[in-house]
Amino acid sequence: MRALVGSVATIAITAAVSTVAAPTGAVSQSPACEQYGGVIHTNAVARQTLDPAISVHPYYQMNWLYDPIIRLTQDLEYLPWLVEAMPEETADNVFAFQLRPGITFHDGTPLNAEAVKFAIDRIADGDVVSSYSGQWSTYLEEVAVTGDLSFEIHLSQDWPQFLWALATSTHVPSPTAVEEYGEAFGVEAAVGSGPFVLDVFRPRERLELSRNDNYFMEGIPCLDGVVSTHVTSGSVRSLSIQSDEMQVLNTFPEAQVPELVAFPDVTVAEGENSTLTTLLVDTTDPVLSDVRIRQAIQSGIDGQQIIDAVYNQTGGLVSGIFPAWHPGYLPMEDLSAIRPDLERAQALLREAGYGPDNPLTLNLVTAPGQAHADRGVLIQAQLAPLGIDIEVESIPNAAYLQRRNSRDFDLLLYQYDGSPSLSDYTWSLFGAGSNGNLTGYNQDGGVQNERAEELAVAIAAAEDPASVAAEIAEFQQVIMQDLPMIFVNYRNHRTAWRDEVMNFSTALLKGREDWYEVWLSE
Amino acid sequence: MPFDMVLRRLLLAVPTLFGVALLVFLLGELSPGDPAAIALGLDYESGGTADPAQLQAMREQMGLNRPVMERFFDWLGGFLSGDLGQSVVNPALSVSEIMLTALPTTLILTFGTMLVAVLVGIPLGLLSAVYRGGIVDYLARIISIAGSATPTFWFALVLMLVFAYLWPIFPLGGALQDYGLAAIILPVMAVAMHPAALITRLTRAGMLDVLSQDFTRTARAKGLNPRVVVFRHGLRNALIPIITVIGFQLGGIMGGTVAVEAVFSLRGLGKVLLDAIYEHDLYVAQTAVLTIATVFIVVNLLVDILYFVIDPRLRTAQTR
Repeated sequence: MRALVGSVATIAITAAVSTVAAPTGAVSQSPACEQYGGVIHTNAVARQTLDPAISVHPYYQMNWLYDPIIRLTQDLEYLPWLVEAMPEETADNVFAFQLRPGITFHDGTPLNAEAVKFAIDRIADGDVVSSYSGQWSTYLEEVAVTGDLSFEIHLSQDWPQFLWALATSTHVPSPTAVEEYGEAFGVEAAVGSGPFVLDVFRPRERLELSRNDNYFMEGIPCLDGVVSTHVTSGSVRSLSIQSDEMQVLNTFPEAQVPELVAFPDVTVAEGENSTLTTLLVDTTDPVLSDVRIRQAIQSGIDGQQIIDAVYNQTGGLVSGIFPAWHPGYLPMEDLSAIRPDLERAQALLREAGYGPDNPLTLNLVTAPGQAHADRGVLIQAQLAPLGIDIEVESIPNAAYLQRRNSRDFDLLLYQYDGSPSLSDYTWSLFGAGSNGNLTGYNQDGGVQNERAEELAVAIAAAEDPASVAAEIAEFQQVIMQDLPMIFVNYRNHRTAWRDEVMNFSTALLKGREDWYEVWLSE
Repeated sequence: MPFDMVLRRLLLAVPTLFGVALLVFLLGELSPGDPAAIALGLDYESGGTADPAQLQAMREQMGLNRPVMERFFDWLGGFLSGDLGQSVVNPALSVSEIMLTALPTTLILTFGTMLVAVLVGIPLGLLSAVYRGGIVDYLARIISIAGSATPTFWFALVLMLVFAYLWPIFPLGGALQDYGLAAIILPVMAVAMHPAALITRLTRAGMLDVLSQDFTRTARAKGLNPRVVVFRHGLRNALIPIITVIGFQLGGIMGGTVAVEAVFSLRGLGKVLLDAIYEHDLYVAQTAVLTIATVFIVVNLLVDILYFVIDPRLRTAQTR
């Protein structure tokens, strides 16, 4: 893992934040904001808490209030953020960090190595209910404070997603505030060091922030503040941006796209292929363990029809194990295994003993959203002529998660948000030891393929996609033949903003827009 | 108003509430879902997964492995004492806090709606009956039929389009805390349409019936002022079924504000209930339903009492 020290990290930050103003510790930033000020009204509010230890949606709200050790930009570049430089591996699985001097939390207390240790230990030790706890407790040996501003992270084993974890789950809250507010931290107070300071938070309702004038990055944020309100109705969201009551809309359903595209003062932009739609297959099921059945289902599904009918043509077909935006993307030459082919599907089913005269009955579990249910129904219609009777179950979120996590399904429609790590889309979905492997592939009772496991482990351990190009090519061939999950298509996400919003663009990954250098022209 | 009658009604309300509480709790328990996964911040849109051991630990921490009836009596005790524990989805918030935050919005919306419905429906029905067959009558009937036939959420969107977008005198949506009473005016108008239409029709029918009775004719023959005939002899008699409907409508409005709360981004009890069901926040969902049921029962109790105030025949019958 030594190579991560410089490979991905020596990026745009050098120009932007390399000159350090010594006395205050503030980092001078090339003034990106041509005009400072303005308050943007937008439409999404975290549903429960702003505690960074708990996953917050949309994700960019974390970066409003807190700073991570390293940051993933909306263009998928890792930058040192609270630290002076990207982590240096000083011994096997020991990474040294040096914090920038002079950073303070919104409550005036210093952001030092002890605060970082507090933030990570809080997650890893399970002191707080956190969906990040599992990964940190698995890989973290300890956070060792080596000085006021220096610390080391000792890992117990290689962690393929280490950079991703550093960028997404190390947002540092003020230890003083966390201790003061206890369980109410995140609701009654959310004190970080981020570019904005919390004024009002009502979960699922309203969030008001104002600029942190003491932000350690000089010159940012450009905005005076952000007001975010939870608007359930799609029509009202659309009216809000048209009437200028809101200036930015966070990702919204495809149905609203035509109306907003037609509106003159609003820009709509897509983040292409950001989420993968798959059907998870229970490979421990005796019927579905037959590869011919899985291949028949894959050949019976027309992903393009779903893109046209459900996504309003805003999506893409699968052409490799990684999506096109991913650093590891390697387009496959022969995609016949995952393209619709009804004759092949019928032949495979016949061979396996099924067909219109002896239909195969399967359940298909989907999440409750309209687009989820619609996809389920279309897949049901596509597979019916083959003699596969699909019973679609669109169920509430909590029930969906329970069914998914306990593998209580034949097929489950899964919309997967990946990360730029090589382990994602590979080991994390198919590795025997991954808790993201929900199909049972290479696990007890599931379909086995030793070669796939070897390749997944090798790819996940690599840092440079080019160094494992051969493995990626072989792995995607193996997976597309084995099909522990069915590849349906990619779905885009999108944001919309008014013309007066400057320097805003849609992130490659859903909900990960950067707001540091956004401002209003008037 | 005899005290023993009120006492009897109050005592009857106790088993009713207990039955509702038991039903609500058991239905919540029977519904599938994993609150532990939700509490861990997992969301189907985020594609996150949790460690199975962590999920199990969370279930234990949340007490989900305890026997159902034990949890029911704990919850019921909590409801009576006001200590309902923490939200499953958001442990930083107590269930009581969530209810107390949402309840004012719903109560203002509900009672505001009923006030508007009564202020519109009764005069309109009255005029319609008094001027039967005239223009006022036709207009009132058209308005009441249109009001009954128009879906509330659609009317809400139309109101919003006209009064918040084309002619922006009200906000497109938002909370009472942020916009004051301006936030509630369009929602009240939207929800009031149905009950106002119903009250108009009931008032008209009741008044037509009463105005054709012998005692009204006698009152007129005695030379009483027509206003006295209409209001004291007519309206007072026609009010009995209207009050019954108002009682039922209040409960219905309270439980049925979900759509309008969603359209206007109001976080009232209906929206809290919907979110809680959606996220399997059991105690919040159960408490919201029980709160609505309690208000419904209390309102109907008050309506029963109101009968005695309005109708002297009931007082006489009770005394006998």
